[in-house]
Amino acid sequence: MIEFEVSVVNRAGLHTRPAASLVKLTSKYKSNVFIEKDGMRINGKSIIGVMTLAAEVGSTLSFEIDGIDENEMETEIKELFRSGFGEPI
Amino acid sequence: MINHKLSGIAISKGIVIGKAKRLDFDKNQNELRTLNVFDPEVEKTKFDLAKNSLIIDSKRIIEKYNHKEKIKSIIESEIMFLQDVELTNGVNNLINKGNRCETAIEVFFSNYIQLISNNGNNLSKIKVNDIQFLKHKLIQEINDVENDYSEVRNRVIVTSLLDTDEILKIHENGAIGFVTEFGSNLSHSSIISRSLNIPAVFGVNSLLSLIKDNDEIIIDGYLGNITINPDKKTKKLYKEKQNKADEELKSYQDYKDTHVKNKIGSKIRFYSNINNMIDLENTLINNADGIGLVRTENLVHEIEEIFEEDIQFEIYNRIAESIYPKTVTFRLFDFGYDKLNLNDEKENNPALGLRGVRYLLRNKHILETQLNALIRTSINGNVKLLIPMVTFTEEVIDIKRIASKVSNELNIQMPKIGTMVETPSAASLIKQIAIESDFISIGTNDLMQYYFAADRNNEHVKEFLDYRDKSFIQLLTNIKKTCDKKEKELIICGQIASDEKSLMLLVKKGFLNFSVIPARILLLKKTLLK
Repeated sequence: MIEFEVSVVNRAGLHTRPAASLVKLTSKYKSNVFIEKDGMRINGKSIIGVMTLAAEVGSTLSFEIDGIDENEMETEIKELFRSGFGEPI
Repeated sequence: MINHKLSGIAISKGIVIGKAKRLDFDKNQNELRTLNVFDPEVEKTKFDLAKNSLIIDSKRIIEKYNHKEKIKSIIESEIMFLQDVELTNGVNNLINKGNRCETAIEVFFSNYIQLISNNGNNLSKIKVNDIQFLKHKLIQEINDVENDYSEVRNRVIVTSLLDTDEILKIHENGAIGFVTEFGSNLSHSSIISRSLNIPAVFGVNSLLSLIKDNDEIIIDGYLGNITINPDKKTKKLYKEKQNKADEELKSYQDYKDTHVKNKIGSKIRFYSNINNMIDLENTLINNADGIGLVRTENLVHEIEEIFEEDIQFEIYNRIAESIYPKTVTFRLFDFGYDKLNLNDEKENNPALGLRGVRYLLRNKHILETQLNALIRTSINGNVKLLIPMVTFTEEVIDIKRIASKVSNELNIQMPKIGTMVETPSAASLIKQIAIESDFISIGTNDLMQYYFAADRNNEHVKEFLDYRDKSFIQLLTNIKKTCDKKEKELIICGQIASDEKSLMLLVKKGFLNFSVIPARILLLKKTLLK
């Protein structure tokens, strides 16, 4: 199991479209993933869960991944957040 | 029952003879349903069917917009939402607790929306709207799964009341005529029947107790009556009448390129009202002088993802390009009331509730997205914008301020912005409003219902809604005088201009611009030339 944190850098925050990109990514992997923010803990493969987080620009999300492909998933998630989901930063 | 004649309200012209198909799913449905035994498995299956059908629809849209990454990804997010285990588990749990499928969906979504709104930032508002819209589509889909439209092809539809979505779906499935027990001449479904050119009679008393499935019916959309199981003689008579009507329709074609002038030689212009792409085709076929009113909220059927700017832009742009160099006036979303209602809470009196500009100014992200799409469309050079349901001058000023901000950001010149006068207060404030507006459009259907305080969807008060009432015509004339003085263009929208006698009266009073259902344009020109 690995744990790490990422920040939301795109201006518009984690709205529907980025949330969808994230879930599309996590769903490709076999590992389980949970995301925590402000005491909320949600399933990272559920768009409904991710959208509940209401993560605005500047906020930090804690990831917890557990499974055989956890390292690959970590690399991709970090890259996705770093790029701001391809949106204006 | 043989050759039984019943009368109602003439809604849409034309004659049609065909076999009846009863659709008994509305109104009575809820009562019928409570009698049924509740079976959670049936409810879960209903939910699954609706989800799958929406997923199939969404995949079809993705194929259509495959080259547009942004559009594709937003629709993919909708599919993910529908496939989400949290949604399935949440709704199924509620069904297990004894809720019907629709209730379970309502409860799930309202809890979810509450949870998101509690976060209270701007981001939540955008998401709440996306989610509201998805809920709306799901519930509608469940009703559709229950409503079987497969047997309507080439049949005359007999039902208690039709809403606008139903009419379009029934039309797409090939129905040839509509008869209803309730409904009035000013309802949106009547406007849509006319724009589709389908014969219709509404408001036929005790209709449903008199007609069985497969009874033969003649609809006379001219006189507003129907005949059940006509005898040979009656059928022959109507066939002749039908042929004559067809010929007359052809004879209108001569008026396509004719210009109509009033007594003092000013040109009378006929613009078209547009609810869908069929209306756009009819606008071009009938050679309208332009598009006087696009009811953008009714384009929801075309704009599958209404809050996505690029999809809105595609549709608006297609309309603006097709009519170029003639002009097109897009009315900003008039959500609420009898149109798509996205309000969170049920209103006791939606006609007097949060609709038109009132809704837009409280949901600025929806407003700004639409303005972005429309102002981008305005590069075509033939685009004007119209503000619905204005009560106070300040609302016009507010919208203009936001539109000017959007124009600056896009670096595009702000298009002309007009006000739709459809409340008595706006009519009374016309001097100030005309100063602030580039043009004025009178929404006569709503102005009339608010002026006479009589619901235009309620057949019990239909006699209060009189197009040719002296004081109402006086009200319109006052608006015209002010517009003339301030040199602002004025256009009349609504049913009043489609009514031949009212139209002649208005032309006599000096009105020059009318926006009507495109299918009526040639007939109206012919009326004025007679």
